[in-house]
Amino acid sequence: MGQQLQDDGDGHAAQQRAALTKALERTARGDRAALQEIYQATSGKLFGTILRLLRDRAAAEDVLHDVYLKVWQRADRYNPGRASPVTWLCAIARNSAIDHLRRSNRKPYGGTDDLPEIADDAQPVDQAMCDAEDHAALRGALDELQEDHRRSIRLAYFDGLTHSQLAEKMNVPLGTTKSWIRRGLISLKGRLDV
Amino acid sequence: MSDDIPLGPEDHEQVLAAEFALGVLEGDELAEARRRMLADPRFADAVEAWSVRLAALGAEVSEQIPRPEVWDGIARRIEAFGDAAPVPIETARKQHPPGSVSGWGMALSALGGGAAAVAIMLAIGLPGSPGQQPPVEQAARTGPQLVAQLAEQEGERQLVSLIDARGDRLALQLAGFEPEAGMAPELWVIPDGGAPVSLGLLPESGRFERRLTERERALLINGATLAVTIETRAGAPHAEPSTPIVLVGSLSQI
Repeated sequence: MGQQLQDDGDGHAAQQRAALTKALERTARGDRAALQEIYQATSGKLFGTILRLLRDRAAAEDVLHDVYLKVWQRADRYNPGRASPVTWLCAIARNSAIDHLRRSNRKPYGGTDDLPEIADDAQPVDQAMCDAEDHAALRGALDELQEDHRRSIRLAYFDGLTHSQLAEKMNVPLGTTKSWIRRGLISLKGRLDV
Repeated sequence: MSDDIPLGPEDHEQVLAAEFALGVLEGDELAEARRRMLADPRFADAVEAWSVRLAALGAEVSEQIPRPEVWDGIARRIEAFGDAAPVPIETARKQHPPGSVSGWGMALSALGGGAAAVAIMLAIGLPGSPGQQPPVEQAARTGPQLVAQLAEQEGERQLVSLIDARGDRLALQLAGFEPEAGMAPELWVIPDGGAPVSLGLLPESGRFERRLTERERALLINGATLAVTIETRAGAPHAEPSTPIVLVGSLSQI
């Protein structure tokens, strides 16, 4: 089982994708053990995503709790043709965290607790966890963008910033960051849809 | 450099959906996107597609370990639902063949960031308070029922509704609403593909029961969407809901 460690990155990821897809199907049928499997396999990644946005462990744990309740409720809506399980789960986690940020009116960053920007060329952290194809496609498309467009989208994504917060962080007028984001997103769509 | 990009209407929709999914919208633009999420299935679909597209960036985030208590909390909440699973996949597909889900229904399945946050849960019976065991035996005696439990994700407001087996009584329990003077929660049912119909004003908290009219019974079926808005007391029942929609969820057969 451990023979071709080098090129088995793909094989392992495919295995995990299949296992998670099955677990989601079972969760949709009310199988609690299946949800626990999903939790064990993915909670680290989801918690990392939420924590980066919220910067507060207690709040992040609350959101994590709600995220898995949503997974329990929505498992029947997961569409394997549309996204890998991890991507789907990450989307739920991120959206829940952003909701929390907006509702609690918290500034998502500020002062000395600024986390460093995740570098443009950051590699996926865990080969087995991430969906290599999804990620490579998006990275490829992002890499072709103008630097300001790419940087503003990445900042918005990883730090959960609104248009105004982006403008403040990047120290340019609001109209400028809006334009960067919009142009960037339009280009992305064009590249990803081909 | 504060130019506005000239966009065709389709582009505008895509960009708005993308910005909504990314979470950058604020003020009026955010309100517009939230409204469209609930009213426009194509928009909700576009938002979901963008959420998934962008989520691939998540691969670059490091893992962090939550405390074991978090799983315990999740397990407890799921226990409280008894054996009420989400509607099984086969049943869901039969009830909502592709293309037939109403705009409101689509909104519930979309993942847009910043959306009016709702949680839709199945429950057997009416939990008296969070964490309490639902009356499983009671439900088993009275036969199939329609239930909806709507709760704000980060807020206090929640509503649980139960329509009994013959479908002629509606029982509700509300908590956490604190409308201003002169305002009250109003309940709506949104038929598949149709316009919202008022079910009248609700008390701001506690239990509430009434008989349903025949017209109402025809609308309150498995899969129908319930929504709550805050409206002026005067003029109720209103012809249409004002925004924002405070809670929204579906009736499910159990």
